Amino acid sequence: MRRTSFIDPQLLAKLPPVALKALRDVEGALTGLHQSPHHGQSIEFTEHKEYSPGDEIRHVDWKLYAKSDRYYVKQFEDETNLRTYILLDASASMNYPQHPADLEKRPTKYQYAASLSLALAYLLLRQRDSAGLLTFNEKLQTYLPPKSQPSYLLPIAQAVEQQAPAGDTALPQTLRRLAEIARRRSLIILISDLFTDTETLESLLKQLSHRGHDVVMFHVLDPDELDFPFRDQTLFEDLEDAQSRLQIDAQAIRPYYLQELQQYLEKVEKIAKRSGITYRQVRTDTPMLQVITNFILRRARARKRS
Amino acid sequence: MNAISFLQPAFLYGLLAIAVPIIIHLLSRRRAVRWPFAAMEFLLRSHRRVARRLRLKQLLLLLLRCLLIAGLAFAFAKPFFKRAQGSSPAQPGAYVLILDDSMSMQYREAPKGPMLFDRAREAMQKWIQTKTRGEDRLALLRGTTANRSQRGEQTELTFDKKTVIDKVKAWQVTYQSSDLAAAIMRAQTLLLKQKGVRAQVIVFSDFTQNSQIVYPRLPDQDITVRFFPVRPLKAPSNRSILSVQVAPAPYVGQDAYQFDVTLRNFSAQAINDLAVTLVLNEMPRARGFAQIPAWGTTQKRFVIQLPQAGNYAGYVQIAADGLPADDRFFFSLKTRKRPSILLVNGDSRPIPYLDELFYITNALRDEQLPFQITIKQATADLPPPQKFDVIALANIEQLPTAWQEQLKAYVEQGGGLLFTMGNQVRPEAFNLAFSGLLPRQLRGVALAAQRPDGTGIALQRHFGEVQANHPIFQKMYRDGIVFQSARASKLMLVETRRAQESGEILWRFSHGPPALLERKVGKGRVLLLTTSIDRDWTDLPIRPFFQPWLQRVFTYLAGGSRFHRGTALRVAQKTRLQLPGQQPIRIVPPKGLPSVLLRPEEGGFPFEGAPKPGTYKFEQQGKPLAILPLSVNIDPAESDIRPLPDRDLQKSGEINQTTLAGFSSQSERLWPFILLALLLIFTFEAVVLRFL
Repeated sequence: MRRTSFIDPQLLAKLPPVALKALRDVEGALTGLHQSPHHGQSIEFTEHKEYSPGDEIRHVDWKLYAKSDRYYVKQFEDETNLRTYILLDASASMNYPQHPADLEKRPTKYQYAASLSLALAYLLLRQRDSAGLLTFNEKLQTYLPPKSQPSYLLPIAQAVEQQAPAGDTALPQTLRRLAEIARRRSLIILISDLFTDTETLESLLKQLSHRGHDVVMFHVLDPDELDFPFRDQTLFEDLEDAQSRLQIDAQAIRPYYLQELQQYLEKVEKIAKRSGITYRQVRTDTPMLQVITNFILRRARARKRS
Repeated sequence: MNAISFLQPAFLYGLLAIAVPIIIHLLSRRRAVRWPFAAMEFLLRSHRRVARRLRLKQLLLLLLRCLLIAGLAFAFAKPFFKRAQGSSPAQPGAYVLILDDSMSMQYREAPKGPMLFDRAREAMQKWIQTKTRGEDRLALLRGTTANRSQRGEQTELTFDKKTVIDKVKAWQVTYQSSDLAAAIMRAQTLLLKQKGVRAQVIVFSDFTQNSQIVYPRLPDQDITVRFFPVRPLKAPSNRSILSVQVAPAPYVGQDAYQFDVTLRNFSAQAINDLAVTLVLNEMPRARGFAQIPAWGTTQKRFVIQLPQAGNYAGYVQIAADGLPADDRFFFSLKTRKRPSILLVNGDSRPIPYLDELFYITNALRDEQLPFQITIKQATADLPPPQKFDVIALANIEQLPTAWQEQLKAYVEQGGGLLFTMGNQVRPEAFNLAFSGLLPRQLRGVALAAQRPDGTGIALQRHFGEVQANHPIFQKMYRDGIVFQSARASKLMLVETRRAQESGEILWRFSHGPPALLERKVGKGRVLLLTTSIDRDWTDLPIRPFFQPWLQRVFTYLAGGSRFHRGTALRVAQKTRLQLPGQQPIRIVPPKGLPSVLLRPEEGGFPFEGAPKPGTYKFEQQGKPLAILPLSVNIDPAESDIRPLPDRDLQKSGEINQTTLAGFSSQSERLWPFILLALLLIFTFEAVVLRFL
């Protein structure tokens, strides 16, 4: 049964009452849950700074002046709301599986990714953070700038549903475009199967990370892609390129395929590590609630540790 | 040149099955399932990496599967590696094949197993198929001796192998004796004019002791004789009935006959309690058990009463063995009632008790005994001797010459004759008249010695020892001493034994000279009593044993004609049968064989020989004839199935080992190696699937 809507109310209802927090300091227009890189007006003391003209006199630490005979200014943490960009891969490769028998058991990668993105958007909007959406295939298809109104979930959902997975994956271009759009430090959630050029990906991710963005990468993969359960002579056809096809004894090629895939996954994981971003591999047969809950709780713990 | 041949070439059609894995391979390529897939890049990359290896593996697997099927087809076809023999293979061959179809080839090792003949026939077909080439010519001869009808033989060399093979296939084993030497001679004659060819005589036989393999080699002929022995795998064992002798048994009764069955054991194990059955006119009449030592002979005697006069056809049977053809021995006999006796009186007297025949006639006049007595004077016209069963010539001086001639023929045809002596007998004339009949030539009358006191009264000589196991004396009294009570005052001396005469002494006087002699002349018997049958020379007629003894003498002498053995032939023996009348007579063989019409010719009815042992009856215009049937038996020599030693065979030709599987010494069996190779291929395939 093909799903007509990617919003699952039952799922949304079950989502944990834990806030999705950015691991890094992010910049927002409003005061909120997330730490801001700017020292603000909150009561959380962070550090001392030598006084320089222009600093507010009221923040001078007089006790320290009494001890050291120097003027030091107290600095306090600032809290802001979170700007999140959700990047949803809508390339043809996300439209897997296509066989009706498989669709009975599990959604396509796009369906899964869309549901995941909407659930995350819902979470963010619920905690009054702003969420935006970018869908892309060979080019950027949809751009919904981040907004914090809870009703913003509806246009996001409409955009996701109207987008049909087709065409090549042009992730680097999309990331470059995002770098131009997101000038302030933001949470960037990329949901894709990452069947793209990994060399360019690494440099772009590093670039985003260096700019202070908190990047999360959900690597959505189908069990067929991970386990390769095929046996007989099979004519494989590329979902993104109709001309690319290969007839082969699936059983014979399986070990070599799995070896290649494993190398690729390890490489992606290393890239994520080197780029300092969060990497989550997601199987489409894993319950989404489990994926989101794990993600949120781990993030909360990590944030607490840092 | 070495070459591979096959014992079951039909299985080579199985090579066509190689197409099966190829078709499956092609079909599986065509039937591939279409599957849109996202992670194509990894597939393409893997494929680029291992495409060659995978293709190689697939090809290797396909090749291995084809090899497996081809190997199986090859293995089932039973290939073998044959080595070329003889002279230059460049020369075409001229082969004369001799297949021994004699009775001994009927030997079976297992009750339902193949006969040696079946194996030989199969081996010969294989030999033709595997050892001959298109340019070779073949002929086919039988290895049996008699009845060379050439039926089924290929007496001209031919290129047509198929015809020869068809003839071999159609060939049936016979009951005849083998005569390979004659067959080899015929083969040599066939090959005589063949120049520039490899001339070979190929003999398939069991080569038993009876096989005649010593043949004269034709001079200046390069003809190779090769023997292919087809022998039982285990040491053969056989027992057979060699003969059945029939004789009257007067010691049991007037109508009693003894059947002496000679049995032979052709094996290294003694046979105990072998059941022997006598069947007469399809009715089992007697049954007994015999013990035969290893490689030995034994005799089993049946004594039965045959009160009904007439024709008897029967056989003696022993428990069946590997060669059942010699486990039955057929015979036929005819019995007659009331033996008729002619007593020829040479010294007739008016006073009865002085008459020469007084005691003899009184002794034979017994109501219990059915003798029919005719008394004639020696001087009178004598009736033809053939009318009588026994003729007694008592104290004869002379007889008509023509009658004497008839008498000789009469005895030869089975009549009984008794000579008794007396004063009328003149030895010289007697010897002359009955030279062919007398057991010994007469020498002269011997008087008993004078008394020492000179009173002139002769001392009477006692009769002495008898041959106690002779039917005349056998079982008459517990010992023969009773016969020694008789005495004689005169006796006729006979010449000492001569080589050409077969007179046998049955009774002697106590001082040595013969009292009773026997001679067999033709089918008849002659007895000579060297003293008188009345009281002139002896007191024998007044002895208590005289009457039963004399009755037994006449019964014995009449036995030669009271019963008559039917014509006995061997299988395939050609003969001229002496049958009554001038009308064609049909001979009715045992069941399953066609009857043969015999037409009279000068000297008898020519008969081409019986194909099978058994009883052959006669009929005329659809009605059975009251003629004693023919009894046909196999040659007893064929029963000896001991193999001829190889050293004897080697003297006459090359030996080639033939086995059930093929020609072992000439060929290397390949299929065990092929099967081993297949096993290795299986293993290798498993390894390929696992690791490649």
